[in-house]
Amino acid sequence: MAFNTITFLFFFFPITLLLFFLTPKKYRSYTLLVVSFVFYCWGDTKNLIFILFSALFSYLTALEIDILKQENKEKENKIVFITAIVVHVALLAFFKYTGLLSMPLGISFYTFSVLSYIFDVYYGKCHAERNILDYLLYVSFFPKVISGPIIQFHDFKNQLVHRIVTRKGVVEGTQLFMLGLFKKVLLADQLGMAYSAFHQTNTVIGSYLTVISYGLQLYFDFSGYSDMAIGLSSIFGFHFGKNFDEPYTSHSISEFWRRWHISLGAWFRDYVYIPLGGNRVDTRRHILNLIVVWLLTGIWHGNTFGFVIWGLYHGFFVIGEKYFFKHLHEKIKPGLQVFITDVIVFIGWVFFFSPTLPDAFALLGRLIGVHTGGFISSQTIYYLLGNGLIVIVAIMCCMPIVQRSYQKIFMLNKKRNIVNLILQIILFIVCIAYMIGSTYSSFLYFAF
Amino acid sequence: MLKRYQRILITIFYIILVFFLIASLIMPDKKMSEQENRTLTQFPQLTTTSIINGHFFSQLDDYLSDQFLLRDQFMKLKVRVDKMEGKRESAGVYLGHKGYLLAKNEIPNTKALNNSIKAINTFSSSHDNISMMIIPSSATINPALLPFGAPMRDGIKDINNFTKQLQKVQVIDSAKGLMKYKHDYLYYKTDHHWTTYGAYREFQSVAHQLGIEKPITKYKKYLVTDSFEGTLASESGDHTHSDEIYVYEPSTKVKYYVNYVAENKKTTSLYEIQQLKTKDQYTLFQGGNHPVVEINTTNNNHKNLLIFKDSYANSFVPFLYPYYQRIIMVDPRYYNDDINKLIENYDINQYLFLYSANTIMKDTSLSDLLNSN
Repeated sequence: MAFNTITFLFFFFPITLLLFFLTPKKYRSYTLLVVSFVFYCWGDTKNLIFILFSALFSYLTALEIDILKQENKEKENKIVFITAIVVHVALLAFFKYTGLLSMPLGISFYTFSVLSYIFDVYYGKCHAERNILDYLLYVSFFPKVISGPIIQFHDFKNQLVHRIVTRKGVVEGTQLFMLGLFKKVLLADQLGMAYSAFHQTNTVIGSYLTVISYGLQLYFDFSGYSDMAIGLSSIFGFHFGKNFDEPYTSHSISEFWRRWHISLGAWFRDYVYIPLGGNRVDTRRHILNLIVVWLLTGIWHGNTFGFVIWGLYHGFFVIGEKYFFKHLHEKIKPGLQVFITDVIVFIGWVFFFSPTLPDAFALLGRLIGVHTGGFISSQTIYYLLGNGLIVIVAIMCCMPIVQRSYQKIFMLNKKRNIVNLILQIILFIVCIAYMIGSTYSSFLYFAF
Repeated sequence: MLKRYQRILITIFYIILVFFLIASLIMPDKKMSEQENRTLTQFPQLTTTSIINGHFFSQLDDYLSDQFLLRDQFMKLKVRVDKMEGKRESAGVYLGHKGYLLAKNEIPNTKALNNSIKAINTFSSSHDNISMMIIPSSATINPALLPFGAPMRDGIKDINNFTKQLQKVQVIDSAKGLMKYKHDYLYYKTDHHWTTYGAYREFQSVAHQLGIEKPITKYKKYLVTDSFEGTLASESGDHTHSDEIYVYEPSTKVKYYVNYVAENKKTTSLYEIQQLKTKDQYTLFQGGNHPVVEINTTNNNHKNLLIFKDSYANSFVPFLYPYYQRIIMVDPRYYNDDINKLIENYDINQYLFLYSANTIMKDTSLSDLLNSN
């Protein structure tokens, strides 16, 4: 079940809150566990077995690693550790790349959670968890089970033990949830329609708008969903860090990856890059390490060759910024740095969304005027009239200066607070209208 | 520090959630949606199987959104916000100028179309006096109604591609006749059908091609409803306009009676007035589509016409009856008896294929019927 559905918002969520606050504090984790499994089953009953297998298998291996460690059996320990990693990765790879069975919901995310836990236990960052219910909650916690953020176990366990539900957490969490809902329903979904409209054109302008709307859609979709997840967690007393931090204002590709899908970047840093030696190795080895990380990042995102290209493309710029064009990069003015970074990132999205490489290159060609249907057409103008406004609003929402001005004018001033309040209520009602609208279907009995 | 407005905002948010949760629990469920023209999902049955196969959950999703309080109002709000954003399209229907909703021209189903051509050509090799009328869509006749730059298939080209392959068939160029009046009320604003006026204009321009020498020019016009909201309104969710339906009564002494063969029902009128109380008021014409409609008149001229048709013919046939002894309307989508026997029984000596372009471009039933013998 997605958060931006009528079922979640007007049924599952209020009932969950009610159950949670009616449960005595001591047992609230169990309430969360039960609702998390109901949440997971809602979309995917038949794949429940895979998440349970993942959770139980990793739970047991971690216990075994802990025991072998105490007995100083390093060799056996290594075998158990590697076997566990291989099994989880193989299962993920099977679903992701063979396409023989439909992917279990959230498998990319819960597998990475589980892997981080095994790594942490093996490298001694934390002890194996004995309470199986706590561990199950870690794997299946409903705000994050479907699309992250990827939380590391020690972080989660800390919060599980020391969690306090505060009014501040509830209010701020709810606000973050609402913000995420607006991003997803009012921006991302609309931008998605803009993207598919512009993608039907083959003019130069249409191609630019295709790329721009896709990049914006992806950002608002994913960051909106993350905001909802983090907001929900906060309501239940779990405080997780940002998953997106204004990525389109980055000055370099390296910085972009510290601001985009932060929890995934951290995962690859902690569990691939650093174990490989990180940057404490010679230059050639360092470059190799970076290539491995970016190759894996690409592969994680999808099963076509386009994703491999996309990952290596980003890797190329990250390595370049460190070694080859560092000085050149430093000479550029900050504003231009942001612009160049965005151009690189948006061109990268072409490989991300194009079904095949020839499609990607055809679109890139159209951006520079090769094989186009002209500079602009009446069809492009039609789509621009219908979708231009939402693209402009989305671009403005990405700009820190617009956000800060809005805060200054409407949120920090007591008298004008009311404008912000009314605006948010209106946006929420429009959100409901769009959620209802997405379920609209007229029955066409075709009395033709 | 939490600010006061934050607390107020959050409180309102939760009140809205709980209000709709409780409202959807206590409000009686609706069976039908007038606006969407379909039955609404009811509360699903809770069984072990329905839980395991996930059917229960997906049904419950549909139930909650279908029975959501103020669903129709939210729908209208969505269409309104879409329009404010500059969108001129809703669920694949163009929101055109002057309140016109315009269906997109169908992409021809090449395989089905080739089958139809083959079947018609086989039919025409053994039958005489065959005419073909394909009625273009509203957007084809008057593209000026489309939103600026809206992409649309060339409807005329699609029709010509089809008709030029027909042999021994008199092709009637309907588009040419209708285009002369394209600024008039030829099509409904909220429905994909032509108006009675559209059918009237078409009749006037094609009568001689159908062998009617002296078409009647005097008609009495009756406005029977001004609250018609057709399929395009349902499809798009845009309910800002409604249409008028007129009935044209030719001044003639010819009398007739209608026999709905499959339903075994006889009547003396081509109109079913009680249908005006239903959602789809276009079914005023003969009460909708039937496998076979038999119209017998007081003429004794041995002119017996067979029409293969879709619902566009329903409002056209009232213009035809004064000139025939017998008109048989066959709707191949519902008819599956022996067509040759029917031709023999009714002593048919003239044939008319009357279709709207959007039906014929993807129709498979006509070739099935013609090939069935």
